[in-house]
Amino acid sequence: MSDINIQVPILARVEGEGALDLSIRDGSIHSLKLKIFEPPRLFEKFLVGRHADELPDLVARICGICPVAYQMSAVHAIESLADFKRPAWLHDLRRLFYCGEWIESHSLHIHLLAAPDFLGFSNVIDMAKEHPEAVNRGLTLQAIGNDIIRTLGARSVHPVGVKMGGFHQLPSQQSLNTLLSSIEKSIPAAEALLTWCISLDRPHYESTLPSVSLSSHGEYPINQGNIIHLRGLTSRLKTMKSTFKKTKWHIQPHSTLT
Amino acid sequence: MIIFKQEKPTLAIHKFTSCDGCQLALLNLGPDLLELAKLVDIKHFAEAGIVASEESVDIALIEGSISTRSEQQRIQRIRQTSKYVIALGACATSGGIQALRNISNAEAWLASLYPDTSVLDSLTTSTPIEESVRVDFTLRGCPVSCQQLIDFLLQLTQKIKPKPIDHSVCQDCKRNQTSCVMVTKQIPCMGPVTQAGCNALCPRINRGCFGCYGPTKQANTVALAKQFKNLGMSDKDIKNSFLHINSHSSAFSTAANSINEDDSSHE
Repeated sequence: MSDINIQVPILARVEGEGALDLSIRDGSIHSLKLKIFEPPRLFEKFLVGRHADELPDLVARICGICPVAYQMSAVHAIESLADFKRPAWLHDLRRLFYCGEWIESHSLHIHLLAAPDFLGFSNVIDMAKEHPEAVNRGLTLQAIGNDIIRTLGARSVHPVGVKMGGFHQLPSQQSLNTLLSSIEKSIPAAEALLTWCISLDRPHYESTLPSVSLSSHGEYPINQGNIIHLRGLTSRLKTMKSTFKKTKWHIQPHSTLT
Repeated sequence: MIIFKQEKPTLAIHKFTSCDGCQLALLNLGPDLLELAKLVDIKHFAEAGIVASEESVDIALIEGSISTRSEQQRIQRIRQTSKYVIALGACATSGGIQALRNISNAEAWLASLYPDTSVLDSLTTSTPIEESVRVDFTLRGCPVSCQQLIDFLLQLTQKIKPKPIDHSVCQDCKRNQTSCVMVTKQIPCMGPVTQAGCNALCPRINRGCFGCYGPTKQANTVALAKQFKNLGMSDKDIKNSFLHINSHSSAFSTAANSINEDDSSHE
């Protein structure tokens, strides 16, 4: 059997940057390297000494596709230091804000990055020629996610609405009503997307890698909860670092997790 | 005069050190993205799944700053194969937020974060594209907005020299009839010294501008620093307002350098 060497310098199916090096000798994998890279930007250092109020604007820049994730982590971290108890309305609005990001980001990932591979197209623009309804549905749902972020954060990329203890300004009742009605109208599209995704032919794959997740009683956890792992590990957020150290999982030299 | 090699101009979007946010100005266009594909022939746009990074193009949009040795080489290759090079967003036009390392001990920062810095390709500086290659047009912002990018591409593809934005955020507040947050609410605002392009978002939601579009022409940073001081800000916080997303821009770095944290005698 001949040797196979595949080098993909830019993986177009990941958000951010990625590359793949694969070498097969005598029918088995000799080496396989998946590289997900971003040059160091040193947030860990330049955040030190900044005013807490600056954090939502600064940390958003970690990622333009998921800035809300970092804004939420930053405000919740600082608020917990101040023993601030989030009132129910704030919990709900921040959850809505974060869901907006999930809807936007997942719609983008499914339609622009993943679906062309499942359906055998090189990219979404080619896919749109044969599956215009699927692509348009994806773009419509992505727009709904962006609308939610914009309603609470003034713009969808690096939104500017979040501050410690709340929002700089709450949306008007009228803008929330408009948002609600467009969300309600898009529910059939979301259900159709789900049916469509389930119908795609997926390879069977079970991972043995240690995966961790948040877990929260009563709601799908995105803004709060404990850290759990399938092998029974549970950790509160505050003790995360020491819990992970105890696992003795291998940490790569280029990781900053130490 | 704008001249393209192809009748339907070809376009590439290249990412350097950045957050990916400026590329979203295209990806967030929704159905208009498919319209844009009729106007330009998109050759390389990895974030949208289209890859041909070495192809020669008419328009190369560059997102991100130069912060690694391989990026220094890659931007040279792109300059050679692209008719028009456009710096897109704060990272490409000013080095971005990661340029805060330029005024610190970046080597020590890297060594304190990574167990083995020899595996890294990282420079001790983050610099705008124009410090490495000639840039034909710049679009500021963190991030650039959809409208801003589409206005630009529509002008360029019609072979009209794109009109630069050179007024301040302050002027957009007046147009939007937004009351001045600094005058009416004593909220520190970078609007007077910041270039427009965002449609003055922050003052509209009751907060001050934090300068994400970088310095405007003839920015009077001295007067603004004095006003911040009058509003009760500490020297350190005033300095940090200039050392933010566009800290490497000369108007802002000069403003920060002129503030002596220990000296309050010239009040």
